[in-house]
Amino acid sequence: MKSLSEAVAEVIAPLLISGGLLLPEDVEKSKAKIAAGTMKAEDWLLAAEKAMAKGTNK
Amino acid sequence: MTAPSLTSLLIENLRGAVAPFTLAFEKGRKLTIVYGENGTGKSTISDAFDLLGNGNVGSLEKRGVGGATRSYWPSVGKTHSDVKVALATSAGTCALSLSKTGVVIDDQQLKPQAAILRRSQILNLVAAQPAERYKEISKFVDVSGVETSEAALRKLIGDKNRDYETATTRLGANRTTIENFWNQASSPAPEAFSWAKAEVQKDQQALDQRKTGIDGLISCWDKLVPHPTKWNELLGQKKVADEALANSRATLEAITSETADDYLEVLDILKAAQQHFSNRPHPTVCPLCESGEKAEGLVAEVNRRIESQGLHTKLDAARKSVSDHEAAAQKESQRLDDFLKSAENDFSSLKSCCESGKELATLSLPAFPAPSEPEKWADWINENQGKRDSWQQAADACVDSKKFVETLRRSLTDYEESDAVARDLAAVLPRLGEILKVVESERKKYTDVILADISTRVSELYEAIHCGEGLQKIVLALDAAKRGSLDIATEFAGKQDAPPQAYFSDSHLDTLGLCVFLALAEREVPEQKILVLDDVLGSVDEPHVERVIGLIYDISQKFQHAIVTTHYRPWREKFRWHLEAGSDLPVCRIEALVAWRWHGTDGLDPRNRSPEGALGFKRSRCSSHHRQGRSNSGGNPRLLDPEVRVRRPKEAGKHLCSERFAECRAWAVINGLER
Repeated sequence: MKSLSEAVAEVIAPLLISGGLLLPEDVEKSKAKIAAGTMKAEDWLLAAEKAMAKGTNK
Repeated sequence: MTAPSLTSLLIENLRGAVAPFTLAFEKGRKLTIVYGENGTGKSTISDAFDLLGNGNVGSLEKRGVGGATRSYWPSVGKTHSDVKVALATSAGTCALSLSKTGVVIDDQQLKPQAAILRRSQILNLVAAQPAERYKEISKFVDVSGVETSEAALRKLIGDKNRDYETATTRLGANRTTIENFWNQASSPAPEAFSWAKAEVQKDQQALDQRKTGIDGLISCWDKLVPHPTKWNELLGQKKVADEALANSRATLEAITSETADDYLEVLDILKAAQQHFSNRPHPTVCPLCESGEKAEGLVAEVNRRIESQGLHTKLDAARKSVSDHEAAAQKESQRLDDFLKSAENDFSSLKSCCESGKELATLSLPAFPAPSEPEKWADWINENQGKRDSWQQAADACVDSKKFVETLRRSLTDYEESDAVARDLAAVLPRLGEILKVVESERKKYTDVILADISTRVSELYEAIHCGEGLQKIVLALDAAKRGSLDIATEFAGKQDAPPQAYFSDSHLDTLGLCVFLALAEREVPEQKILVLDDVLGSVDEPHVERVIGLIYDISQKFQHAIVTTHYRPWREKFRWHLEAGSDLPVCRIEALVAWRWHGTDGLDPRNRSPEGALGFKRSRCSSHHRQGRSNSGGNPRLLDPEVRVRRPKEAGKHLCSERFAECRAWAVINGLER
């Protein structure tokens, strides 16, 4: 059974992708980390920078 | 998946059960009510379910027996190894024993889930501090994983905002520095930064070479500067030496002229003889003529003649003085010659340096040839000394230029780096902010929905008990300003957001606590959970008891099983009398209502059993059934024949409206003991 954090992460993930804020592949990789509370500052930054580099636009 | 139905609960040597005790559950019944007066051991049954489901005996907590309550789990005089609890269900039996350190469940698959609410806990749900209240509800809104990741993101944004501020501050400072340099350089076109970039790209090697050339020139010049003084000094010393030599020669001449010619001629012979006699102090013959005639006393005679005129010492001294002064004069002369050669080289070096290359082209240099006569050097040096000062200024200017370029380069580099950092951050910060906004809002929305659901359900349950009292607008909300803090509010007498603790009676707070607990308990797969309410409604007054019973009955149908323990006689009476009163209560079956006394050796003791025996009554809105029930019972359930009572629900069911027909079972604590 999914934890509440996992459920919230599932809700957040598509919004981050559709908003062009993060790359889909990074969101998929980060979902578990977000839910587990192990998404560190550097992980957030790297994912955001990668999305910027790929030209995804918010 | 259908949860297995409960068959029986065996308790041995746990808390009040000093002797084995079995509580049997009737097949098909989901509600068991355990009635017993205070001290009859009702809570031991709750403890048994608590231990099975949660590995703990919650009734001992917050009783001031310390944090480790485990010591008190066994009955008095028993040890942990004596404790046994076994729950038999339609799926099998789950047995529990205690090891030295923990709880051992023999079959984890059959381990029940149990939600226990005790009298001592009920106010925690309502009247506790928000943080304590949050603990009770946390598992239903616990998104701490997302919150932790969100906190990391929030901190990142804070850190990056500070980095951005630092970068922009440095950007401004470096811009000012560059513009100041540009202004000092008379603001050349086109603008400060283009000029600065051009400046730092200039060849710094030329500056280094010029500085080295000037340093060499100054070094050569500085070697010349003391030469006139030195020359004069050496010249003076030579003069002194020459004069001293002349004097010593004159002295020697004077002594020589005063002395007899033969003395000087013989003196040398006598000194040679004296030297000879020092090794042969007793000669037998004269060493010159080899005559032995005057050999005796010859040594004494030679010594006497040497000393006879007293001039030999002066003569020796004068000769030595002349010799010494000749050496000194020679030395001074050599020093002067050496110095002149060295000076000549130094002038040549300076000339070479001045002619060495383009690095010194812009400098004012001395005119060559320099005077060869030493006595003219001083004038020549004095004429050019001012140029030496300008060379030093030129060398200092080289250093300043280099420092300036280095500072300019640093400022320009720093400016460009700060600009890059500021640009990067300006690009990424809004994105991070948007991400945070999504995460935060969705996380809040998610928990808000859950809390709204719980609030709605609490309000529904509360309204079911206190219908028409206008107290149903219960709101649970997380305090946004404090993590892990839950507020509870209601509308009271038109006042919004009123804390119920401030306005509700104890009884109302108790029922509110019950409603919160039930609303929470039914959120987590209730059909696989045993609900245990341990003496939670002592303060509920009679007008509300009927509604509470109805509520518990209704909600119990969602659970695997519900067990309610109570010492409250109105409950007993309601169950007994409602059948006859035609109340709108669920149909219940009461096998026996017994008051028990706990006994030190027998434990949950069946003595003093009440005489009711089994009662059966139904919940129905069908008035004809109630009328029939009343006529059958003669209006007094105490007079009911047990057989009639047992049969009643089956017979009555034919006449009942189908809605909400069900049965429950109420037990006295020790009824059902199968000892």
